[in-house]
Amino acid sequence: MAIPAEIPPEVAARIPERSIDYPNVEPGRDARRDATLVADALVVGSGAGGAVAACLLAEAGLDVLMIEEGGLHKTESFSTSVLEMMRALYRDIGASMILGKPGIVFVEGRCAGGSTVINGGMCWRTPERILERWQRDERLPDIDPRAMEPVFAEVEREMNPETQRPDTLGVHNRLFAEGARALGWHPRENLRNMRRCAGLNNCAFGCPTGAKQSMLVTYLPRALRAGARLVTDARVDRVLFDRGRATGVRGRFLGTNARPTYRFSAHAPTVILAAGARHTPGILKRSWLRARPIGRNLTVHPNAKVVGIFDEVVNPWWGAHQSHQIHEFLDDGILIGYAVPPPGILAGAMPGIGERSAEIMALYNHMFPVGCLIEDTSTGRVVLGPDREPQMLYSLSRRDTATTHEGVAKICELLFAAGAKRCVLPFADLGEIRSPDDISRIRARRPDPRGLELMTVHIMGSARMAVDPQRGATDAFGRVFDVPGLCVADASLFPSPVGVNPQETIMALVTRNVRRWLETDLRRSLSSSGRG
Amino acid sequence: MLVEIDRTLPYLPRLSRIGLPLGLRVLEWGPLVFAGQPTRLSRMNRDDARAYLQGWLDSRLGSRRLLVYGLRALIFLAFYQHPTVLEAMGVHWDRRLVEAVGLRADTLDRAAYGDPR
Repeated sequence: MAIPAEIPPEVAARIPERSIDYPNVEPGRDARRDATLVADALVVGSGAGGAVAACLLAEAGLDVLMIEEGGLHKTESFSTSVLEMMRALYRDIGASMILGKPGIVFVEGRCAGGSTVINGGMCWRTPERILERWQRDERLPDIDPRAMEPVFAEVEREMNPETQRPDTLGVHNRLFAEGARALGWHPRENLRNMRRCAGLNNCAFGCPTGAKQSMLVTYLPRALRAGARLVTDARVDRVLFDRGRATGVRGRFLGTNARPTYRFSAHAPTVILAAGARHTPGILKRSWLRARPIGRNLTVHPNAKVVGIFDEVVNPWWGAHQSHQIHEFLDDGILIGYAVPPPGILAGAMPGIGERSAEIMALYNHMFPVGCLIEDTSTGRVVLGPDREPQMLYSLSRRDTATTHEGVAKICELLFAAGAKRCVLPFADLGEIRSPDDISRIRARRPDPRGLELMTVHIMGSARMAVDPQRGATDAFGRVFDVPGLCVADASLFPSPVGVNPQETIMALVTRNVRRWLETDLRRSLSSSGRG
Repeated sequence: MLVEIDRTLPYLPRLSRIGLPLGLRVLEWGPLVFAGQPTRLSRMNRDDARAYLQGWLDSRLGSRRLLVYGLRALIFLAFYQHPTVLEAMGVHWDRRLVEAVGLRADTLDRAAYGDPR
């Protein structure tokens, strides 16, 4: 229905990310029979964890096979057509739910490059206090800030975190910084993995300008150039074992509308699960691994949003995605940022139906949605549903509900300081306030999670690293306890939430772990094949 | 709009794919049970229909709320990406895409000649 924008070919030709070569890719949707695949290492998933693991292993000389449930959608196929992009790039078109009080909408990628293709590209190192806690409380080795410094530096060389160019900022970027400064806060320029972003703000639907340095344009093509293979549209059901050792996976290729078609099995002495904090424990559970910590310790960085409505025209569609964040409340568990979704998505989060909804959405160009990310202390679980699909169960504690209320109150302070006339709130029982004097009503709200509208794009911790098998699903370097040959390489590994956007933490942990695997477990495979 | 919704339905989570057709039937015939009116949703006048749907949105039963919120979200997604609607709202994301790709190409060219930004 949407008419795709016409990019002049001579302009498109000057964008290197629009002409990346992806060798060794086999689309599973083209399969016409069952298949058996063989490699030195299998990597399930191609997001921030899987692409990094595959790249490092392939560059070390291993024959790596990546298995990705979604399709390969290249930069030149991305557009501003929201539904089309959601069908191509999102799991469940973004309609996944975390069940509990309250229900939380969860969005993740399902495509080559994983959620890095649809995230805002925030590229923050793990806060030092978190790394120190993991070292001190969890007794994890080689994870303190000094040990991790060269690992972060290595990741950043590829990802190129940089701040936004001033000529690409819109009114909303300016309002955010001005509102914060008026309150005496210190907005931090956001570090995002990008090369000269032009401020299109289409990050959540694939970056058509190629500026965002997602896995799709960095580690993934690097892995393929190093000889790794990628099978897309292939969903892994379970891990295969031989005498207690992981030896492969089996699953189904996916055809039209992501419906299962033919079966495949893939065999390798090393199996790495990087399917995200929902599906990695799901695969482990479907493989009849029964260790108690698998699926537990799920944390979700709940996000609550407030929509400020201004008299002035904000034109939220013009200007960079989240050029600034507020970090000064990180120690209280609150990060404040913003993301401007297209009208079709924002309308679903605004009140009313019929004319009331239309009236409020007519103000879209005067709206500015700001959100808070909560470093949660609540934990949930990943369990298998009756259809053997992993479901997430999670309820917000009173403490985290109170932190969310405080985050919402602070956002309202910022928006009113920036000149907002009204703030639309994420509470069923308190829909809107029209003056800073009303902010006290938010702080006075009973810390009851019911009636609170939350969403998240970060889930973590459901197969966490630990030194004790009673406490974690994997050891201190991501190897699943008691199952030789089986490793985890995604946000499931986190012992606790990180309180900031987790992409760089995932990439750094996986880099750290893969280096260790190459020095220990995988050394033998490399030397026996003459590649070490 | 209906074509877009139709294309999208197969991508919903499995339980929603099964539950949606059933839920829509309950919604259609629900006025008998939930609003005490001997009619169907599609035959109600606009004010009654709006009040009836608002009742579902405010329901204490999560599944009733979820159905109408989900349906509403799907419809909004399809409606608000129609070029005519976006034009009427003054939202020109598509035009901005062409500009932004050009801007980035120029910036990359400048960078190649030593401009660090």
